[in-house]
This record gives sequence, C-alpha cells and structure tokens, in this order.
Amino acid sequence: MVTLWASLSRRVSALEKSPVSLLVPFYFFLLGLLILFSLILLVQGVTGTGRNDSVTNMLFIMTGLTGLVSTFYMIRRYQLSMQKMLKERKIVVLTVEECSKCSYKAVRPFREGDYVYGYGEECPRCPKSLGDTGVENRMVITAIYLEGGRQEERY
Amino acid sequence: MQTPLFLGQDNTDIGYIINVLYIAMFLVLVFWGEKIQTRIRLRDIEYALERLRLMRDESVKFTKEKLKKYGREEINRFLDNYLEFVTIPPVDMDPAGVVWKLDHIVKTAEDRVRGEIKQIIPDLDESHVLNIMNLFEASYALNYYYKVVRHYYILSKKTSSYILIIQLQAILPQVMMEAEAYLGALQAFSSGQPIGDGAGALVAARLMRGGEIFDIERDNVYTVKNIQGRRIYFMKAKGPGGAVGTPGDALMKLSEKESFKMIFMVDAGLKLEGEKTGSIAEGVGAIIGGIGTEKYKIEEVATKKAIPLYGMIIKMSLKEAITPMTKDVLNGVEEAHQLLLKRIVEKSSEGDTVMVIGVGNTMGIAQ
Ligand SMILES: [Zn+2]
Repeated sequence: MVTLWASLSRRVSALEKSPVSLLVPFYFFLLGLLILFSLILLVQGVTGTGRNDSVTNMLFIMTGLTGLVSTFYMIRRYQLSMQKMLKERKIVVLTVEECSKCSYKAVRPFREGDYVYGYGEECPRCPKSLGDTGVENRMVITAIYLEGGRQEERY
Repeated sequence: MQTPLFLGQDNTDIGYIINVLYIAMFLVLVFWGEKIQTRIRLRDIEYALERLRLMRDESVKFTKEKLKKYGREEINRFLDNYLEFVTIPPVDMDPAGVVWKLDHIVKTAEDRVRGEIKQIIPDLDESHVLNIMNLFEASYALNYYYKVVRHYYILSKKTSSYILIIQLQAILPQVMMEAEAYLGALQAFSSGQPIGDGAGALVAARLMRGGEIFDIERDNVYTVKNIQGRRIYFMKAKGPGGAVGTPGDALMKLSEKESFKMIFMVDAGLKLEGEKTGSIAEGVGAIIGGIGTEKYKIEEVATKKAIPLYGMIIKMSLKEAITPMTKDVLNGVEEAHQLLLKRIVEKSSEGDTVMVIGVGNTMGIAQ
C-alpha cells in the first residue's frame, strides 16, 4: 500500500512540470517587445523623422511614454504580487499571564510550548517561599491572542 | 488655419498603415474574439494555479522544516504519501445506518495517521501528534485545492469550453482566499497556538477551571460543577493538542447514567461577509460543524430523551477560524462566557442537571 502511494506521489510530482512554468518567461518576453516598440516610437517622435508635423510627433512621444510607463507598471505589479506571496508572514501572537495569588497580569510575546491554562513564568511580585518546587510560584496563562485583532483588511 | 489632424487622418504612409491596422484588428476581433477572451481567462487561471502550487510547496516545505528537529527522515516520506491519502465515504444508496459507517471510516483514518506518526516518532506526546496531524491537514487541503483547480484547468483547455472556463474563473477568488487561510494556519498549527475555531473550547475551558477533570471516550474531558443549585456538566475536547474530540460519543455515554434537562453548545461559526467578528448569535439545535457524525449522535440523544438543545455561535471568517485567535474573537469568548452563565440560570431550575459542550479545535487550550 505504502509503495503504491509512493509511486502515486512520484507520478503527481512528474505531472507538475506542466507548461505553466513557461508562462512567466513568455510574459516577460512580451513586456520586452512592448518596451522596444515604445522606445522606437519615442525616438521617432523626438527626432521627428524628417517631418515638421508637431502634432504627430507629440502623439508619437505620448504613445511611447504611455507604453513605457504601463510596462514598468506591469513589472512593478508583478514584483509586488510575488513579494506579497512570498513574504514572511509577520504575525505577533501575545501570551497573557496572571498570578493566581496576587492577580498580577503580564503580557509578553508567545513562546513555543505556551498554552492556555498552562504554566507561565514566575510571578515577579510574590515572594519565593522556601522549598518551592517551582510550580507554586508560577503564573497561569489565561489567554493567547493575535496582536492587532483583525487580519481581514487585505480582502 | 489648419485643423490639427490625429493619427491616421493625415494621408501619410503612417496614416495608411494605421487604417489597415484598424481594419485588421476589427476582423481579428470578429473572428477570433472569443478565442482571445478564452486565452486571457485561461492566463488568469494559470496565474492562480501557479500561486496555488507555490502555496502548496511552501506549506510542505514549512512542515518538513518544522519536523526536522525530530530527526526522522521517514516523516517526510509519510507527509508526501499523506497528501495523496484517500478516505472513501460509505455507500449511501441505502442510507439507514450510514452515519455509523462514516463514523467508523473517519475514526479508522484518524487512527491510521495517528498510529503512523507515533510509529515514526515514538517519543512524541499526544498533543504534539495531534498538532502534526493538523499541520498535515493544512498541506493536504492546499494540495487538494491545487489538484482540483489543475484538473478543471486542463479539462477546460482540452475541451476549450468557454462555460467551464468562466465557471472556474468565477470561483477562483474564493478558492484563493480559502487557500490563503490554510497557508496562514501553518504558523498556528506548527507552534500550537489557539486558533479561532477554539473559541467554543475556550469558553468551556474557562467554565471548567477549578473542577476535577475526567477523561471520557476519545479525546474528551468533562467536569461537574455546582452553580446555584444546578448540577452542570462542562465538556470539551482534551487539550492542549489540536483535538476536536468526539462530543457525540461522550454525550451518549454520559446520558446513560445522567438525565440532562437541557444541553447548551458553544461553537465558532462562519460569519457572513459584513457581520462583525466575535459577535454572538443564540439559537436552537446541535451547534457543531464537521462531517456530521457527532451532530447526528447529539441530535439522536436529544430527540430520544426530549432534551432541548440550545446553542451559541461566536462568529468569524474562515481565515480567522484557522489562524491564531484574534482579539475580536477573544472578546466574543468573554461575552459568550458571561451570556452562557446567565442563560443556564435563566432556563434551568434548581436541582436540574445541565450539559454544556464547548465545541471546536482545542489546540493550545488546556483545561
Ligand atoms: Zn503573584
């Protein structure tokens, strides 16, 4: 059974080399063409190519500039979407601890191993009694939550 | 005075070329317009598909990275196999008793995965095994989204069916949103942080504080408390591992020896867009999600013994349900806690026995 799964998953990963990966180079090839075309138009517009028709020259320059701006905009948008997709998700999760004896409350960043109603750090206010085995003086974690409250804005 | 001419209006060579281009473009759009639209839509889908693939890969990579500390190579291979794991639902042509069959199959699947993880990493405690299972499920979901979208993408490309492409493109934003939610869940699952879905379990955990805790059935704990003359059973999944428990089984067992006057259930529920996260909706019925087997059992008990089922939903989005619990949800938990205590006293009278079930994934929440 397990070997069957293994062969299945191998076949699936072989399938993944689909034509999808060709798309991005093609996209950039098109963008390159667009830049070239815009530059030619721009140069023609600026030099005038022997005509003295200023309106046509203006239009050439404008078309060229629009082409350039829109290409750079598209590249920038692609960069941004890639960054958004790959960026480290910076999420700050906080742990709230409370002392059951003196009701001292402390908030600190989450550490691995924390869980609600588990033991946190020692209470800084309560005196450490002799012969303490550790647990008695420790605060209890009462809440763990995401800082900032909401994470919906992106939609 | 000469009126300025626009491109194509002057009778130069350029104008001529532009006129020809316009006519050519018109013809192209008439004959191949739909083809071009199809191409554009397919490109959008391709882009989304590529994103889904990256998300899936990132999730698998992240999981493997997290499991590195156990130093077992087999767990990686098991994860790869798990992504293709299938659970076949029972035949439902003759629906009588199908719930029990489904329950059996689902439990077998869970046991199998749990057993395998424990076999590979024997010195792992129960809560970590459950968290790893949750982590695996996130990768599984992402892989599933990717494969289904890829299937329809290839199919619509092969058949060049315009309708299929439009349908696929229409549901893509929602699919991407859900996939993003699963990707966001990885952090919580890997470090055992409470997630939004644990809101119901957290309400129960707060109410259970100070009571003596008993285990019952698979992954459930309960305690009995006395509040204003009422005997109240509080139940939740056993934390702090990412368990959802089997409240239906536990309720069936407990109701053999106890006759409950009423059952209260608290759970996290999906909100509609525009509703406020953490707001509370009260209602009637078995308030529990999942595949429906636990819901069935609870309804069976309630119906047979004519026990009223009251419920409370703490609302949130899918993303909030599977990512670390937000402050809004936590406020909802606080509110639900107070409201529940009030309702229990209001609806029951002295001497009654009441059941309170906090439903949800109890990851990061002990009792
Ligand atoms: Zn203290």
